[in-house]
Amino acid sequence: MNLLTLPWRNIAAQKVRSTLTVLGIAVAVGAFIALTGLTRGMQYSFDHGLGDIGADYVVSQRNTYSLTSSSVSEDIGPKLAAVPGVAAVSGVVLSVTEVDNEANIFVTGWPDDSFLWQSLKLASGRPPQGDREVVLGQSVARALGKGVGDTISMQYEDFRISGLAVSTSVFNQNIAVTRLAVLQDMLGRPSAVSLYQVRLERPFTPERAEEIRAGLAAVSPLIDVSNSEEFAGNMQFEKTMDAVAKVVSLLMILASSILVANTLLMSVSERGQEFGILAAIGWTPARVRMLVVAEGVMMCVLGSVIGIGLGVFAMYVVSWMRIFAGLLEPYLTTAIVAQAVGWVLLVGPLSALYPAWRVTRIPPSAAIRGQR
Amino acid sequence: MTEPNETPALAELRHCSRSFDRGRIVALNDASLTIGRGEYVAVTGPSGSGKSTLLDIMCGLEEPTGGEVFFDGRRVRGRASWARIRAARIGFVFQSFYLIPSLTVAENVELAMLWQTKAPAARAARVADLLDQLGIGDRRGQYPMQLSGGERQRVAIARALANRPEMIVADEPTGSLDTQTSVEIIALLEELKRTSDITIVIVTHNPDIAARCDRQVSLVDGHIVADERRQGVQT
Ligand SMILES: Nc1ncnc2c1ncn2[C@@H]1O[C@H](COP(=O)(O)OP(=O)(O)O)[C@@H](O)[C@H]1O
Ligand SMILES: [Mg+2]
Repeated sequence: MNLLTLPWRNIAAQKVRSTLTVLGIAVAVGAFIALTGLTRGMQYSFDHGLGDIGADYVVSQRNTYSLTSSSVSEDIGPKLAAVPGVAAVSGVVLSVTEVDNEANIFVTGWPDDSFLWQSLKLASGRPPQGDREVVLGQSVARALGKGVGDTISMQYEDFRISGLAVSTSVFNQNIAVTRLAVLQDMLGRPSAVSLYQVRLERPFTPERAEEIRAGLAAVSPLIDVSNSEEFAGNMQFEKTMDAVAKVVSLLMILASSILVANTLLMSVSERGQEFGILAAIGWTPARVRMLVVAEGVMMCVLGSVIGIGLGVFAMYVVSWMRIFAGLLEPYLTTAIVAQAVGWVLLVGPLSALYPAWRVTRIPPSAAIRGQR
Repeated sequence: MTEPNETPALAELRHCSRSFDRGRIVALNDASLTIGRGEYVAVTGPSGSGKSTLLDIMCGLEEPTGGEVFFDGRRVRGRASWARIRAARIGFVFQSFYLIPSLTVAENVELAMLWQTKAPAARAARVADLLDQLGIGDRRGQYPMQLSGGERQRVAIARALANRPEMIVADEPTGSLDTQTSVEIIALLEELKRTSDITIVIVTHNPDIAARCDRQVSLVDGHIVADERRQGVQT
C-alpha cells in the first residue's frame, strides 16, 4: 500500500462516475491535440513548402490576411529583381480551389521561366504545357485516385494531369501546379501575383541577407518581406486559426476541470466519515487534502492518456476526409502533447482545491460522526 | 494539576467547556481532568452527558469553546499539531469501529502508519505482527464488510496500536458488541495494560468494565461529578 492506494480505490469504487469524468478530460485533451495539431500541421506545411522550393525570401502584400488573399502587382517583380544580391525572383499565384466537387486543394501557378520549376521533382510525366494542364502532388493524386493522363476539374474547367510531383513537404505534396498565366486567367487576376519568391546570389552571409532584405523592402511600401520560416506564422489568417484553436481547446479543458471538481465534490461529500477517520488516526489536514488532490490528478492523468489516443485518432480521421485532402495534415509533436497534458495537470489540481478544502473545514469529531 | 516535582501528566483539561448551537447545548461544562501516565481510567455517565465530547477534546478531535488542553505538559492547539500528536502518541478505538470500507484489514492498519514508518517492509511486518497478536491474522486480505463486529473491533485496536502509542482512547469500544465479544475485547485491552505502561481511557456504560479500571470519572450534564480511584491503586 502507498499514498495512492486510497484515492485509487475511491476512483475504482465509483466506476460509472469516474469513467464519465475521465472521458470528459479525455475529450478535452483529445480536442486540444487535434485542433492544435491540425492548425500547426497546416502552418508547418506552409512554412516548409515555401522553404523547399528553393526560395530565400517571400514578398507578399503588406499585412495580408491569408496566403491566398495576398496580391502584389506584377510591376514590382522587375524592381525586386534589380535589387543587388538578388539572383532571381518568381511571381507565384496561389489559390484554394475545389477539385472534382469534393476536395479543396492548393493550386499554384508559376511563370514559364521561373527558377521554381527546378525544385519540382517529378515522379512521372512532365511539367504542364499549354492552357489546361497541371502537375499534381503525389498524395493529392492518391487521395483523389488520379494518375498521369487523367482529368480533374478545377473552377469548372477540366485539366489534364501532365505529371506527379515528389516532395518531402506536405504542402508541395498536396498542391496542384500549373502555369502562371493559366491560373491568373482562371482566377481573373491578370497582372497581379499572390507573392514573389526571391532567391539570393550564393554564397551569402546572414548579414548580407539582412541587407538584401532591407533592399527588397525599400522597393514598395505595399509589401512585406519575410523569410520562408516566419512567413506563414505572420499571416493574420494563421494567427486567427491559432487563436481559435487555443481558445476552444482551453475552454474544453476548463470545462473538464469543472467536471473534475464536481465529481470530487460528490465523492468527498459521500465520504465525510473517511476523512474524519484519517484525522483521528493522525493525518494532518494538509495530508488529507493531498489525498483529494491526488484523486483529481489521477483522473486527469488517466484522461490525458486516453485523450492523447483520442486526439491522434481524430486528427487522422479529419485528415483522411476527402474534403480536406491536401489542406489538413496531422502534425503531432511532443510539445503539443506536453502542452495539453500540462494544462490538464495544472487546471485539474486547481479544481481539486475547493473539494479538498471542504473536507478539512469541519472538525474531525463532527466528520467522523457524520455531522456537517 | 502538575506539581513541580512530578513528571507532567500525559493529558490534561483545564476548565474546558464545549457548547453547540451558539451556546444552546452545553456538552461539556468547565471540566478539569488530569490523566497520568500508565493510568487505566473509565469515563462513565448517562448518554448525552458529554463523555465523547470530553474524549474528543482530550485528543484534539474537537476544540473546546473555553479552557485549555495539554498533552505531555504542553498546551496543544490547532488541527495539524493535534494530528501529529495523535499519529505518534494516541490510538483511537470507537464504538462503531470506523474502518475504511474500501481498504482491506491489513490496509486499514497500515493506513495509520503511512507517514510514520516510511519503509513498506517495516510496515508490513508490523501489520502482520499486530494482526496475529489480535488473532485476526487470517483476515488480513478481507474487507471490513466481511468481518464480524468483534473482528472489526480487533482491526480497529490493531490500527490504534500500529504506531506504538502512549495512550489508547476508547469511546464505548464494546457498545456494539455482544457480551461474550465484549469480554474478549476488554481482556485484550487489559492484557495490553499488563504488558506495557500504556495509558488507557475508556468510555463505558458497563459497570463491570468500569469497576475493573483503576479510576472512574463520572459525568452528568457536561459536569464532572465524581473522580474516584479504586482502593489500593497508586498513582
Ligand atoms: N456536533 C454536535 N452538534 C450539536 N450537539 C452536539 C454535537 N456533539 C454533541 N452534541 C450534544 O452534546 C451533548 C453531549 O454529547 P456527547 O459528548 O456525545 O455525549 P455522550 O458521549 O456522553 O453520549 C449531547 O446533548 C449531544 O447531543
Ligand atoms: Mg458518546
